[in-house]
Amino acid sequence: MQQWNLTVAQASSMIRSGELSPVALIESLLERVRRLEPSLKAWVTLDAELALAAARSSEMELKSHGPQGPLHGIPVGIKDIYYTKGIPTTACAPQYASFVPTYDASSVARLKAAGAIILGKAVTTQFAATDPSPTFNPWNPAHTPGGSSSGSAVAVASRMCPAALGSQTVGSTLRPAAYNGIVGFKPTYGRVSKYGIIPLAWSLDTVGILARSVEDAALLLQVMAGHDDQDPSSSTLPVDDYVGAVAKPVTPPRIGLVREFFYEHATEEVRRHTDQVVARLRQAGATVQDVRLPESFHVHEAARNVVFAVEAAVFHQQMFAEDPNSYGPLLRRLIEAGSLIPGVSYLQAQRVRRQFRTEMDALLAEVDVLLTPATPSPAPRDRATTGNPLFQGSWTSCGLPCIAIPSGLSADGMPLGIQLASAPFTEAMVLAAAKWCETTLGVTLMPPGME
Amino acid sequence: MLEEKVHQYIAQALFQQATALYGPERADAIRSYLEQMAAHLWLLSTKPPHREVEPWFFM
Repeated sequence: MQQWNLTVAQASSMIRSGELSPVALIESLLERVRRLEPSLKAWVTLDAELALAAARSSEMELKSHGPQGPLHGIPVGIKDIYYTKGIPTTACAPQYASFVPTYDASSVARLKAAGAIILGKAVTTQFAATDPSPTFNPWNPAHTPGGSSSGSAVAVASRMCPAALGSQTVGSTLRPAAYNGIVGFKPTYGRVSKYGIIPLAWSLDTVGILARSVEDAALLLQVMAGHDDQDPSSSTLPVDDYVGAVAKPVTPPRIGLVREFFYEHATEEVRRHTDQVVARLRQAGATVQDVRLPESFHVHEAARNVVFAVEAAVFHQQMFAEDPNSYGPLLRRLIEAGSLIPGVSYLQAQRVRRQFRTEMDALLAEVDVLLTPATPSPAPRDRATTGNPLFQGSWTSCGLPCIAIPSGLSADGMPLGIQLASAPFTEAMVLAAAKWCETTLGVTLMPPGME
Repeated sequence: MLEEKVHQYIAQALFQQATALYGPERADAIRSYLEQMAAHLWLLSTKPPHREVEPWFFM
């Protein structure tokens, strides 16, 4: 297999056994970046010399002291809203154009401590909001790559790096993952520190992982999960063995299929595809039951939109007052509308979210995971949008861990996926179920012409 | 009918505030978005959670 096509787990194993050098791996990826980046535009900052120097240092350390951690010599992409010490962090916004952090985001620091190498900073939509980025979908450049983690998803799908960090405030990790045919994972709110990430909406923002296998998502989560005193929303609950959960043989999961709402908003093709996927999973031994959504589900979207707008307006208040014209039209109207919402409504919305979470806890006690289509349709043929985050927003709103995995192709050759979600802080369960589904379905996607 | 009036009243209030704060041109530009937001606010006001439920913030 080509070095650029190795997963994190494969590359890590080969680096440890001496079959692969970190320098050779990064050279292979840099060559791929040189070839593909002009047409895909996935990166904001990528300093080849810096990455090569880090790989050389990693190689020397491997020879002298052995592997530093489970990600020794593994290159990763970082969405450009994460602080990276000494590397510009622009949020793809003029306000941060010349900002160079003096420290790493906690999640980045943990990746580096585990031996990972920062390959570069990936394109985000402006401030991780909804104005489309310049990135192209490698499956078809006329279709949106999704957002806001567009660069991270495209870099991983096109094999310019084996894994990348994204973030999810509504649907910004799982949606671009599904649109580009890769795995997207969002842990429970509070499981991974948000310290050092430029916020969009504090009570919704969550670290996201983009990778090409469930095992790789587990590897990155294992390294980043855990309490961080610097993030007030960080959980003190113990960290489970995620890598172990996907390594051992997994029993077929109990799946709750959510047709309500999701099938109403999905295209006929997506509904049919999801039914076919569910039939295969059932045939392979999964228990599948239809589940009904709690009453608060039908109000929570309004609550999430209110919370999102108000928190974005508060974070941007000062910068926006100084230069409103520097904002993209969608973010601008979000801030303007958010600034008008009464405090009473904001608090009412946060109460609705709490009730929704409580009611979802009860539903999730009946099954291992909930299954829905990952998106209402494949990536729309429209670069003026980042697509519809409707299928992620619910689980983000109540902070559940969730994952999108590829499950096939649409009639016009665009990736399709399924989404699984589980109870709060049961990442090991949702990853194990996703691993079982991934193995059962056997779908690995590569964009055309990228082999 | 009453529900429709309340919804319209919320949208109108948002629009008036937007006009005062951002000027009539911007208020017009975001009018449809303000109407969507008014629909959210109206829905929230009609479906309050149980009295005992505290707000979310950090869990």
